[in-house]
Amino acid sequence: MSYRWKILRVNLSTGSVAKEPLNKGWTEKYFGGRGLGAKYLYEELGGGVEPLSPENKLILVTGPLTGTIVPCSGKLAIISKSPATGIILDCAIGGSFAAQLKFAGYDMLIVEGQAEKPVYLAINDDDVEIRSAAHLWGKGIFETESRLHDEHGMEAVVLSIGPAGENLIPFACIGSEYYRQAGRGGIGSVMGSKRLKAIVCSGSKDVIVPDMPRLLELVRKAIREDVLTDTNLWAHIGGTPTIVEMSNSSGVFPTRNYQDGVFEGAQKINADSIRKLRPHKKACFACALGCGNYLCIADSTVEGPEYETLALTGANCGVDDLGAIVRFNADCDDLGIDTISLGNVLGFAMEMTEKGMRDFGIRFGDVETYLKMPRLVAYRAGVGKELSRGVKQLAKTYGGAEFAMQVKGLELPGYDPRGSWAMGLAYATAARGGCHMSAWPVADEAFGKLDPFTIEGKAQLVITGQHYNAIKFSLILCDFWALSMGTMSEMVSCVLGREISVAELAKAGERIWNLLRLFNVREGFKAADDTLPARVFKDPLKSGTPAGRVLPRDQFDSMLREYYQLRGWDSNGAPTPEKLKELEM
Amino acid sequence: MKLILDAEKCTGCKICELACSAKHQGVFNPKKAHLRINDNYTETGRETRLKSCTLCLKCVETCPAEAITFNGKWLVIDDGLCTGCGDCVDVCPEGVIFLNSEGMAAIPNFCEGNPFCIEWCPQEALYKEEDVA
Amino acid sequence: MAVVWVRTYGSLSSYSVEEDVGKGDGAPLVFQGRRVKVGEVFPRLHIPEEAVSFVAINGAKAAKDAWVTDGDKVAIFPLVAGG
Repeated sequence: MSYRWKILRVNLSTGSVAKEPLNKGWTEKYFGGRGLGAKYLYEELGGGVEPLSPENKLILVTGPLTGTIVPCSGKLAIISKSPATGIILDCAIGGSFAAQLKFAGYDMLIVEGQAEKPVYLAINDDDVEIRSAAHLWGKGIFETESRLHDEHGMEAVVLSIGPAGENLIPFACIGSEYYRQAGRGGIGSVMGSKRLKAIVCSGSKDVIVPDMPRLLELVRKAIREDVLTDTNLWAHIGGTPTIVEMSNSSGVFPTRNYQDGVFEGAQKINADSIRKLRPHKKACFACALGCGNYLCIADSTVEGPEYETLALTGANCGVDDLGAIVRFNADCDDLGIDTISLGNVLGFAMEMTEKGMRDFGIRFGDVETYLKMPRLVAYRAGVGKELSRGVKQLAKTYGGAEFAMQVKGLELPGYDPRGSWAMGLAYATAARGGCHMSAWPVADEAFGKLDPFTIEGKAQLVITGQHYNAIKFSLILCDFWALSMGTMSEMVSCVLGREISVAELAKAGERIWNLLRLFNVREGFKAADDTLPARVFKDPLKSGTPAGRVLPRDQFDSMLREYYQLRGWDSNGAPTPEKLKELEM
Repeated sequence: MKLILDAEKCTGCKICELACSAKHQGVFNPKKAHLRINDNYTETGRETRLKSCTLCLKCVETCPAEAITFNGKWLVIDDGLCTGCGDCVDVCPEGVIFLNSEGMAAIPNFCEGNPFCIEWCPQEALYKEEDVA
Repeated sequence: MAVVWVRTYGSLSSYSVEEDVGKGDGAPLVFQGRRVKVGEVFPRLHIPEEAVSFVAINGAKAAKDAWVTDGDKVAIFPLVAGG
């Protein structure tokens, strides 16, 4: 069985390290990853916990597929309560930490409390120590990793925060293997608030499955026939930058703070411009695709930039200088800052400055000032002191809420909802706020055959996508393997040695989704929070396919009403008792 | 025979390590694989390197029970002679010998000519030395 | 005669004998007549339609029965999951 049936629980206030049994019944309902982590967080936190207080918990979770040869199973889920939004925060990070945690003998790590002084956690199979991080505090993620590798060996995998997390920036991230992040919602600041600088993990225990020959046969076939196919190979050939030209030609590429959806500089920051730098591809643990682009340009090195970074710190800031974006990206990775949120913050600041509403000292395309921003924000220095508050808070103080592009306090990712109406619903209803990892209907609309400018059938489209991702990110499988529910069922049934049907997985997906919602309802969530910035409803796009379009408010409201109805939720967007009973919650 | 890695094609996915431990030990455990890929970022860049049997024969020389021999192509172990002392594990410069779940030495043998890792590598980054033109 | 520049993305380049379809401005395809429906490009490059998400003409998304003429640039995009 690939579960360890073991939780590692570390309390940084008391210094205690405990090993506890994993709840078997909950694994049958929630499996692992996003679902199981959310269940533990929901049960262990009451409502109203301050995200940066010792009462918040950081839950790092693997899934039943972690540590096996099932392809694209390398991710780790990290669940907490967000300092930016005050609601659930379900992050994921690639690389190999998840596998090492499983090889060390644990399904899950729960970090509680708060250390008096900076510490790091060292896990080596059964040996778990809380150690002083005095020599690491203040350092960037790159140097922190390097130092911890010197101490613990190159095979140990490190999760760490940089100055942004130490300084409790609401969009600080957790980094690993230099260039991978659990990016959003200030997850890095939850670690920072606990004075936990890093977690190092090394494992040497076997992961066992009931029928190894059958699993090898299944996976061998799947890699050949289902992973390395046209549907998924875009990730290896080009990687996420492939999406730049797709967004730009369908008019949803966020440009100059979402003032438009077509960027005249897109060709300078597209997949071609990156391919010319001859990247060395990088994969997460057990991934047959390998989407990472490790490259060097003008003395800056990064594994990236990913599509979201090219969109939000490129087009959204009016920057088409790829070298500058790479430099900016590397700095954010080292300081530990979410590029999606920072790109939005800068776009907002640029528009406010240009409109004369508030001079933040930066304009669209001002590369020189732009390059200074990650550091200013990470240290809350100069204008960074204000910018580090995020767009929602900035708009509260200075105005401009109509074009503060955020939902529930989480800045929007790189697809303009005016050009893809179902994506608008996805942003509005994602559990952690303005997020593209709940569902990604832009693939069916802007990049596909469905009419983007109608609400018909869109509520169901988003619901199906949300359930699919919810179970997928609980097993845990990566986004980029577009496998069917049938294949998911085959893989997890073989690994667990019992039949888990598509219907059971789909129900689990819905259950997980409702659980995330319950968490938010307990935090005082209201239906009015399922909304979009006014710009989306009022300012028409100017270029490309969606030229002249907004997402009309009344259409959005209808779509949302239908969404609640189809979900069996009440008009406050809360799961009804009947729905919870149906889902055996 | 020896294994060669095309470092530029290698993505560091470790599927080769998992395939090896799965085939020979029946488990998933990179530390029980007869090849290791070191693919690390450092402050100066990225290093991608293969650790695998180079037929240096130090294990053959070291084994006090003379349980390990070289047949001209790969290593062979006589399980009846192996005492599980672990000297071969310590002496292997590549770090690809380990003690299996029975406490006996697990010795790399290139799957007797048809390496499993080569079959499994999704990037086709692994080769037999003799296959490189 | 219409010379249309065709560019493919992702693994779609592997279908064509034209090497340049996967790079830069793409490869020139010559069609008889002054104009042609962009959907005609797929069989010319042996690209299965199921592998295509959408096409763009001169940087803007277009329907498969849209016309292209001499000098137009066509981009063919693969299916993409995730974000």
